[in-house]
Amino acid sequence: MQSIAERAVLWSIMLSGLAFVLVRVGLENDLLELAPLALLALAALVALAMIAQMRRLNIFNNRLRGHALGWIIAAGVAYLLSLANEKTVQAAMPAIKSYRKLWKTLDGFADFLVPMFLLFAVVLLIVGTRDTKLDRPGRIERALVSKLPAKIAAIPMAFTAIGVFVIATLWTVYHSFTRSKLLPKSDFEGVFQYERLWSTDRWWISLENLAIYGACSMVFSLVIGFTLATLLDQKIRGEAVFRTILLYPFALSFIVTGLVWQWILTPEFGVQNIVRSLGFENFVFDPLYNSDIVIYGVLIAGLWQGTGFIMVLMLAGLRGIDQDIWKASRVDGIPTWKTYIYIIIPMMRPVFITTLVIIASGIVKVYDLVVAQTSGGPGLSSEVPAKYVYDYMFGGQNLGQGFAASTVMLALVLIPLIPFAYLEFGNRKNG
Amino acid sequence: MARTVTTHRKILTTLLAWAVGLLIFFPIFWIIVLSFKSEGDAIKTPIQVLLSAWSFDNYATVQERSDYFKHFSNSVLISLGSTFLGILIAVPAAWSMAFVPSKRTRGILMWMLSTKMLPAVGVLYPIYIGFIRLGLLDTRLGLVLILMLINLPIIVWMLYTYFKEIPVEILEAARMDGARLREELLYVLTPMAIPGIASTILLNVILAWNEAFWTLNLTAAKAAPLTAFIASYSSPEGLFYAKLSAASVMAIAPILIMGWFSQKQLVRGLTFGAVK
Repeated sequence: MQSIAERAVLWSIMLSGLAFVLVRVGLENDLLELAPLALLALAALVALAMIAQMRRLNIFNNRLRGHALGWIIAAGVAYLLSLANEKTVQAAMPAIKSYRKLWKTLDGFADFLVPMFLLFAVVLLIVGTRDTKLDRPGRIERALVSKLPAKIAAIPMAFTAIGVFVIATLWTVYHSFTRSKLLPKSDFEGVFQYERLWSTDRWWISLENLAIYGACSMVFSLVIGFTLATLLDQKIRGEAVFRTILLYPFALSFIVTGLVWQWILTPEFGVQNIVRSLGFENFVFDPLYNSDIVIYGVLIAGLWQGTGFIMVLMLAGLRGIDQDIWKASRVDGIPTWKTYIYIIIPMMRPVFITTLVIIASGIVKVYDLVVAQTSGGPGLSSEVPAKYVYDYMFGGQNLGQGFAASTVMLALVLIPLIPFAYLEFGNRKNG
Repeated sequence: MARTVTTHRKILTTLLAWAVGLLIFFPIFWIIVLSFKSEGDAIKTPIQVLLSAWSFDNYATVQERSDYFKHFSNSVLISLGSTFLGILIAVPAAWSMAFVPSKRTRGILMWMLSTKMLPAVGVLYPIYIGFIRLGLLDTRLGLVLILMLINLPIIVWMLYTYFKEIPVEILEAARMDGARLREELLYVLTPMAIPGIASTILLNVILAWNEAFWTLNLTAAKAAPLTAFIASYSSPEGLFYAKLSAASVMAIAPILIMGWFSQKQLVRGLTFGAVK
């Protein structure tokens, strides 16, 4: 009976929080708008029933009073935040006035958080009155008291990193099924946007470019990075400086990289000009002006930026390999290259996985480089999906297309990611 | 451990290493050279470029055309602010995940890192609308918040790996000696984690400094940092390479200089803690 009541309180608070978030991000539904406070009221009723059943409530002589006081203070802070939205307060303190809209939003949160925190305080007082110190505390106590510092520490991170991104992503996915044009609409319209998306040439070009760029940059940066690392796997002179130089490109913004390579690949002044001035008058190298190979021009810039980084990672991996392995393979007379392929590479599996994940996460996001280097040209020949999304959202005033395209991109990431994450991390949970 | 090799091979590979290093460094070196040349000299053949006159004119022109120092101060404020805020949130989080793990810790970490893999365009518009509603569009506060958000997973992950290297026994010993949570964190954990935190800060400052996608899309004029400043030189004046180089040098110089003086942290940070 006790556990059912406790469960009811916790679940209704959680559901009310969920409903609150859904309303906040713009789902319009009368029932839903009523839900957060109604569910809180339900939790409060259950709590009252618990008090009625116990017929007493120790407030001052309560072992959880410190925790309850903490929640009351939290409620007070939330209330103070909501005060910043009051006109009189803003008039008194002009400094906070410039973020008016921010306070207005926070006010909405405070209206919800104040009663929720107060409810936590009451519930804790109830639990503290009822239970003496137990071996295994009840559900509410486990949720609100055990490991509290750790929870408080982790919640802002979990909320910001997961909450914001998951909610925003779901919002986008939902709106990809609407006919949103200039402004987002929330009427469900089916797969109309997707039909249009897949019949657009520009989208196919973008996908093709992404595939070429992705496959090539993965293969080349791994192969070049690893080969260079094996060649340099020894203490060379001034290694620290050397590593820093190799990492410099990686520390530059894609915008700068794009512009630098735009210059280097320009026929009039760049590589073509230099080779011609050496006497090869007919030498042609103009990737940025040739729509068949422009994506390789972008690729060169991307490789320049990333390969040094991959090499440093690989070098670190090679350094982690025990010297005895080399001695053993030498004693057995195994050629160096065979040792690399059959012994060293399998041993460096974790390094390769880390590297692959870093490269892959960079590939999907390739946007700034293209914008800086070619702006998608010549024509549409170096378009990439991220740019397609962006152009439709902000340039073409066709939000639905942008949402549909970004949903497809999301699917393209998730389809390989989920099985991979499951295989790599799922089976060693305690690792 | 490095492989042992014969001396003459060692000389050969050292030379090769430096050749690779120079090749990679050349583009950076070249825009620095170009930035000191007149537009006319900048498009001559390489030898002539090196021999022609050097001057600071481009820098003066760039500063005059688009206030470099405004963008610079925006960049500094945004990258330091987002890093500070991120560390503030991430240190407790990483501490709780490393030392008070629950059965969900690993799952939360994976979830968090996977948000880094998702295409940012997928969340661009909802966040854009949110920014309009909150009045944060084209404000520095807004950029601080969003850059903190997008880099938070990496900060937490890095700090988590550093904290994991610290033996729990030391913290337990401190607790046995009567240290409270606050003291434990402040006087025992933090001093031991300083190198890790320093690398994390450096990495995050660099990531925030370079972030172009969000800064280009969420700013107009007021809060635009250096990435937007460079991008404004990209298309309309595409052929003014000397000025473009000057602008680029001005944007990357702080990173290059900072990186040079903190090489160890740079290497450790940029490789996400993999290279110590």
